Parts: sequence; structure tokens; C-alpha cells
Amino acid sequence: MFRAITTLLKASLLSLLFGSAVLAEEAKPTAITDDRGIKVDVPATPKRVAAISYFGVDLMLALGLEPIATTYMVKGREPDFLLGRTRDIPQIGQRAKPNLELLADAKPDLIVAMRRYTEGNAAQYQKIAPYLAYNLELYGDSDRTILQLATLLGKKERAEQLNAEFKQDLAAFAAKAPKGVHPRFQVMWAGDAPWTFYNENMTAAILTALGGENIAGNNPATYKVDNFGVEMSLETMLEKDPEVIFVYDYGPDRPNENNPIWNSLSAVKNGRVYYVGDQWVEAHGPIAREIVLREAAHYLYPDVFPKPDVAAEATKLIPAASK
Amino acid sequence: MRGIAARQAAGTAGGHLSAVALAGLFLLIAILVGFGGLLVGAKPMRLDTALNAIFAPAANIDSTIVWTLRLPRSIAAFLAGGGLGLSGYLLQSFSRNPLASPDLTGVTAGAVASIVGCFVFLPWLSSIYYAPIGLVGGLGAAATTFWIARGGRTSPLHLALGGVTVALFLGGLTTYMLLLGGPQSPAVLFWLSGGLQGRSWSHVVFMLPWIGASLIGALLGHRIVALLSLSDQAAAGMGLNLALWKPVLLVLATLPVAGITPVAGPIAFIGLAVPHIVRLLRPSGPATAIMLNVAAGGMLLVAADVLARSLAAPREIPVGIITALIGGPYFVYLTQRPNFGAGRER
Amino acid sequence: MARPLPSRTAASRSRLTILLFGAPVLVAIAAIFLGVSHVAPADVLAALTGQGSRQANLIIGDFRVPRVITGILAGIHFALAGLLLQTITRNPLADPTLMGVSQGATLAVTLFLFATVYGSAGGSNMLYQLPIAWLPAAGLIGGLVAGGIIYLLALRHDLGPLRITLCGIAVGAVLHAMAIGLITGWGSARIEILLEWLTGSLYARSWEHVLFLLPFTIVGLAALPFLQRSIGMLRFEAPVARSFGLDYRRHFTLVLMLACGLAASAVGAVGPLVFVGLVVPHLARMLAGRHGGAVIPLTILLGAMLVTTADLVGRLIGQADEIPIGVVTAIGGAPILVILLRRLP
Repeated sequence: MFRAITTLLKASLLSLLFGSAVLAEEAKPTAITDDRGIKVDVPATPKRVAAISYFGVDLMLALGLEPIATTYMVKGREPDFLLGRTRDIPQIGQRAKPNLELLADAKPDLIVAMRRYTEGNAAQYQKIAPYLAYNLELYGDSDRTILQLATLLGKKERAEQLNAEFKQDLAAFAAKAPKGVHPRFQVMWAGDAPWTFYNENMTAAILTALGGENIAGNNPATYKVDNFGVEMSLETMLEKDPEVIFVYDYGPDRPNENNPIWNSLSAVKNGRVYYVGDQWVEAHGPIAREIVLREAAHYLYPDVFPKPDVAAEATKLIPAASK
Repeated sequence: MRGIAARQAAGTAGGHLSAVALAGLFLLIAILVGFGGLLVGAKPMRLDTALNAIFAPAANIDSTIVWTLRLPRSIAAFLAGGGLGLSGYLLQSFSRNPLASPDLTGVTAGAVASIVGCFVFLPWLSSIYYAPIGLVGGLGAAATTFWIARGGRTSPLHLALGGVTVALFLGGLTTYMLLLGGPQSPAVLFWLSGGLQGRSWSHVVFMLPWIGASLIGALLGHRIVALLSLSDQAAAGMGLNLALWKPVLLVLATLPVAGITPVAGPIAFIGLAVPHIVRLLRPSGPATAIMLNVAAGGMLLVAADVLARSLAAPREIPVGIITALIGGPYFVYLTQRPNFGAGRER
Repeated sequence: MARPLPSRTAASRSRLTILLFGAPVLVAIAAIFLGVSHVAPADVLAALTGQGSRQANLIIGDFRVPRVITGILAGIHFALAGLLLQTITRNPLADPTLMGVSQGATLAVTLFLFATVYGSAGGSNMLYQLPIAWLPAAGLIGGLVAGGIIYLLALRHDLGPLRITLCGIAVGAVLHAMAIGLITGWGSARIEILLEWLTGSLYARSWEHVLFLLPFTIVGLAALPFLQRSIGMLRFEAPVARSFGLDYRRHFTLVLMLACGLAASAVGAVGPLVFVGLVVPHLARMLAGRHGGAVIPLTILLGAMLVTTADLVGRLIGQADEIPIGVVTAIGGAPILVILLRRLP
């Protein structure tokens, strides 16, 4: 009896030691190099992620998780491509200026943000939780960032699956697109000399992969690494004459519509100007890019591809139980 | 006193001619510069192409660019510059203050703030209403400035400082309203510094009545302008009802700004510098001064606009930057001269 | 001329003194205890003594307290700079933001941000790590240069007071135009950072900013007693001041340097705050009445109080989207200023 008890005790002690060793292993933080090139110590499996910008929300929902805080683009506007889930998540301000106190209140153990808006205040964010900043501008940023963050969150296979699926979908849509037809397109912010994106931009890249031709072309000044677009004068627009125009829709001000040139563009005459939503502005997330792909295909070739139902597509990508 | 006023109001025959010739010269320069501007832009054009496009317009791109973009843009620039010059002249005359101008009395800032307020908070309001709203805003700001400076009875520099205060306050308000409107940085910068990108015939037609009304009113009332630029007592002594005519002149001075601001945003320094330049040419009377101001202001802005289009092509620099860079140092130089505002300062 | 307060008994004077010293302290306390995040007063106290929970220490110690202190120091800087400028230019409407110091700082910051973009590891899209720690220094240098330009212009012709101010306005407008021109002509992704800075803000201000400002504050406050006589003398016209034995040029330069240094460092740390330097000296003079010696201390206290209050208002009203303090001081300061301007002779 006594030997049984001591054996039991030894066994439990051993398993305890072993177990705590394993636990200690899990609790040891890992180091991740974010897009600033800085090595950041992050917890091994973050449970409470603050998403500063919709990319974080998008990614987490697609992984079957939920962030504990989010920001907004326009107050009160809950984007469809996230199924309005942002309504239930604490909102802490705009993506460029998240409120520090509210962020601290949310008690995150990881902060994911867009680099160009927030890196100036990195020191303060770092005090709350490990802070990772991502460029999220180029097409290549999408796969890479999704994989890195998902691996950190313990969902590496899901990320690989998402990336592979997107690659397949893109190839499938491109194959189905009519050959030899290269509709000229333009992706822009509204304005008198509209800010037009080069091919390196994610949405422009998707459109190009589908066979479209960006009237702005590639970044002409590659030494300017953050040169993603140009204020294209209306004269140039007239000359290049895009057939399809995509406008990021942010407000009542649509000054380009008041311009006489606008009405002589063939895109306007044929009614092929599309005001697109938040998923186009933050197109790098797994949900957003799939929706952008389908919308882009539909708007480029309306006879071949049907108009996607944003909510339905988003639902397909969000695993049923996410909490 | 009466003789001087009479001479100023009537003008000698010789004075009239040379002033008209000068005005004509400015107009010619404006046309030449504007024409030169036709050749410049994102798509450089050759001289023969441009001439063809003007005199034998066809349905090709070059003609469209000339007739829909560059030509009306230069005309719009001329109108805007002329209107601002006129506004500055009127303000400086009736307040007898060499520093009065739409920017330094807060008129421009008032117009900008009220228009920005409209499209951020009342987006459903058609842009046709922007000019009258700008008028109300500009008048309100000017009234505040003049109230601060007790109708200009204090030192002229006090008026300028009061105006800058009002302008700064309204500028802060404008920036905040723009930031509230969401992530639209290009729009913000336009409303902060002005520009003529994409301005076409509809905009020209929009501005014309406002500037035209002010011009006609000023010309009709040029004798009143002459009297008021002497002194309040002299004008009252001649039987002028100050309580009526001063506000009228203020309204006349604000009309061009109300028409120009919705189209071109806030363009600085033209209203300040042009009347001074014209004064150097010694016009014989208000009527000729008015014509010269319009012509010179128009010419300056056309030139500034061509520069704005071509310096950083294909990017466009807001034209307000060019005018500030030219007008600003001139303004600094003005404040350094010993006889600053000679003959007018109290 | 400010209306002097009626003569007071000793009791009421000490009551007034207590009130005047107490008010800023109360405001500072309110600013630390109140905020978007609800931290219980007991936790706040604990955090202030370093004993609080990690959460309270973070919110109070790392965010609120340094922000409030930065605001206080900036307020002192702007108010003092305004007072000094108003005195030496003999112009009651002088202010560092009107006279080109802020615009010089803005231009310097713009140039700095654009220059750092291009120090990148060529080829990749990894941008050079933004050396944000240098931003206040860049603003400081810009402001000092602008001040230098105005100084040269002022002393070259022995300009009258109002004319110096107008010179400053013109120089400021040109520098501002150059800055905006750079921003629009270049069109880089840094626009958002710049626009945020342009409105004047205490967002994410930290102990680094406090440490940046503190040396200037200390030097400035320490220099005041020595310059007291000069400041008093500079109120007179140059010939009169010289007749009192004042080396006019030297003292004008010293006081101007001090004013520009205070203003430029504050602008570098928080961006341009309009109207603080303009309004506070007037309020101080009004309250001081016949006690001329009280003007400087009052300026310091009121400057600190005004900025702290404005920041608190901006934080509480804006909630998640706090209102930038530059906007609050513009909206709040202008009506006060309009009333003050009317009272001038």
C-alpha cells in the first residue's frame, strides 16, 4: 500500500514537473520581426488581440477567433464584409489614432496595426502590449502577413489553407476571364486630380491578374519605396480613357463628378463607375481579398461573372464557432 | 479738397488713355501667358497643334484638352485673380487701410469655413448654394474683424491683426471639420490652400455673375469710392450717408470672394499685393484703378496657375502656394519700407 | 488699459492668492483623475505612488500623467513666449504662432519627415525606421531659424512694434505655404502624420516629451529674474530705453531668443497651439491689476491651467476620437481674444 502511494506520488510529481516544463515552454515568448524590421517579443499564443484597422478583424474572424478591440474608418459604419461583427467589438477610435486609454482598458496581449499610420507612436503602444506594425500595401504583403500572424495565433494550417484557396480562386477566375480582352481600369480616391494607384497596390494587382490594364501602370520611381499612387490629372485620364473606374467611397464630396471631362470619359458614359466599400481600401485580409476578387471580376466582365453577395461570401470564410 | 476730389474723380484725358493702355497691356500679357499655358501640362502640346485646336476644333483629344480643360482653366484663373484684386482694392479703399485684403480681414477664411461646414454636415445641400453661403460666412467674418478694430478707426495694423485672428480661428475650425469628414487628405489640402485643377466652363459661368456684379457696382459707385478713400469726414462733408455706403462697399468687396472660393478655394495674397502694385502705377482715379486691378490680378493668377501646373508636372502644386511664395516676400518687403502706405495712414 | 481691481484687504488678497494658486492644481488633479477610461480614485492615488495595479500604473503613469505634464510645460512655454514677445515688440497682439515661429517649426518637421523617407535600404519596401525621437528637435530648429529671420528683419530697420508683428505674419505665411507646398507636391504616405501634427495635439505624448521640454522650462524660468529689468526697460521705445543705460540691441536679442526658444521647443513637442500665447498674458495682466510683479507668475500659472483644461475638454468631449488640443484652443481662445481686442485702446 505504502509503495503504491509512493509510486503514485512519484508519478504525479514527475508528471507535474514534466507538465510544468511543457507549460513553461508554452509561456516562453517568441520573437517576431514585423515590417519595421524590429524584433518584437510576443507571447507564444496571444489570446487577446487588439486589431488597429480592419485587417486584424478580418484575419481573426477568418481564423475562427475574435479580436478584443477594433477601430473604425467612419464612425457608425459597420462593414458588410465583416458581417457587421464590428458592432459587438469595443471600438477604440480611428486606425491612425487609437485611443490609448481605451486600448489599455481592453487589456490586449498583442497589438496589430498599420505601420504608416501608427509607427510614430510605437513606444507608447509597446507599453500596453507587444506592438506589430505591417505595411499592408503591396500584393505580396497579404500572404506573408496572414501566414506570420496566423502562425503566431496557432492557426498555421488554416492560414496556409486560406492562402492556397485564394491562389486557386485567383487562377480560376483569371482562367475564366475572356481572353484577349483587357479592359482599361483605374482605381482611385475621389478628387479633382484623383489619387490613382499603381499596379503594386493590392486591388490593382488583383484587377491586373484578372486581365485588366491599369491606366496608371507600375510605380515609375522605384527608388521611392512608398510611392503607391499618383495624383492623376484629368488630362491624363482623358488620354488614357479607362473603361472601368473604381472609386474608394468616403464621403459626400465627389468633386470629380462636377468636372466636364468626367462626363466625356467612356467609363462614365457607359455607366461603369463603381463606388466601392471598405473591403477595397483594406484588401489584404483573407475575407476582403476574396470579395474584392469576385467584385473585380464582376465589374470587369459583367457578362461572365455574377455580382457577389458580400455577406454570403464572408459567411463562407468565417468558421461557424468563433470566439 | 474739392478740386482734388474732382480731378481724381474725373481724371485728365491723358491719364485715362495711359491707364486704358496699361489695362490693355495686362490683358494682352494675360492672354499670352494663358496661351503659353495651353502648351504646358501633363500632355505637352506643340504650338501648331494648339493653334489648330483653338481655331479649328475637331473631336480629338487635343481639342478636348484645350477647349475643356486648359482654356477655361486659364479664363477661370483670370477671373479669379481679377475678382480678388478688385476685392482687395475695394477693401483697402473704403477702410483706408493698406493692409486690408480678403485674407487679412478674414473674408476668405469665413467663406471657406462656411462652405466646408456645409459639405461636411449638410452633404445633401446642392453645391449651387455654396456661393451665397460663402457670402454670408465671408460677411460675418469681415463684420467681426471690423467690429474688433472699431470700423478701422484704430491703427490699420490693428485691423490686420484682428483679421488674422479671425482667420486663424476659422482656419482651426475648418481643419477640424475636415478631419471629422473622414480619411480624405487630398480634399483637406485643397481647402487649405486653394487650386484650379479641373476648372472648366461651368465654373467660369458660376463665378461670372458674382465678379461681374461687384465690378459693375464698383464702377457705378466709383465716385463714392473716391470720397471714402479720402476720409470719413470728407465723405460725410460731401453729403455721403456713411451708414449706408460703407456696408454696401463691404458687400461689394465680398461678392467676388463668395463666387471664387467655392471654385478655387482660398488663394492668398492676390487681394493684398495687386492693389499695391497698381497704386505704384498711379492711376488717375478709382474707375481706372478698378480696371487696372482686375487686369493685373487676372494676369498674375494666370501666370501663377501656369507655374503651378508645370513646376512639378505631372503633379500639381496648389496655386495658393505660388501666390504666397511670390506675394509673401513682397508683403515682407512692403512692411520694411519707411513710407509704407504713405498718404493714407492715420 | 486693464481696469485695476479695487483695493483689497489683506484677507481678501490672501484668499485671492490661494485661489489663484489653487486653481491650476485643482485643474491638474482633475485632468489626472478624469479621462476616457474610468479609473477609480483610489487606484489613481495608488498609481501615483507607484503602488497601483499594472493597469492603473499604465493608464495613469504612462499615459495621463506625462500627457498632462507635457501640456502644462507647453502651456507655460507658449504663455511666457507670448508675454515676452508682447513686451519687447510693444504690441499687445504678438504671439509666437502669429509671428512665424510655429510655421518655421512646421516647415522643418515636414522637411525632416520627407528626408527620412529616403534613407531606406534600397530595393526593399522596408522603410527606414522613422526616427520619431528627433521630431521635436527638428521643430525646435525650424522655429529658431524663423525667429532669427524675423529678428534680422526687425533690427535692420529698427521697425516699429506693429510692423514687426506684420513682418512675422508675412514670414509665417510664406513658410506655411512652403510647408503645404511640400506636402502636396511630394504626396508621400506620411501625409497623415503631418496633418495630425499640424493641428497641435497631445496624443501619445510621453515622458520623452517631458524630458525634452524640461531643460527649456528650467532655463527659461531661471533666466526670468535676471531679465526682469531688461523686460521692463524694453517696454519703452529704443531711444528712451537707451537713455536708461540699456544696451538695447543685446537685451532685445536675449529676450527674443528666450521667447523663440520657449515657443519653438513647445511647438516641436506638441505642434502649434494657437492663441495660448496671445490670450494668457492679457488675462494675467487683467488679474494682476496694479500688482505688476504678479504678471509673470500669473502668466505661468494661467498658461499651465488653460492648456490642461483644454486638453481635458478635448479628451472628455471627443471620447474615443479625442479633439486635438489645437482645435480646442482655437475655438475656445478666439472668443476670449475678440473680447480682449475690443477692450484695447
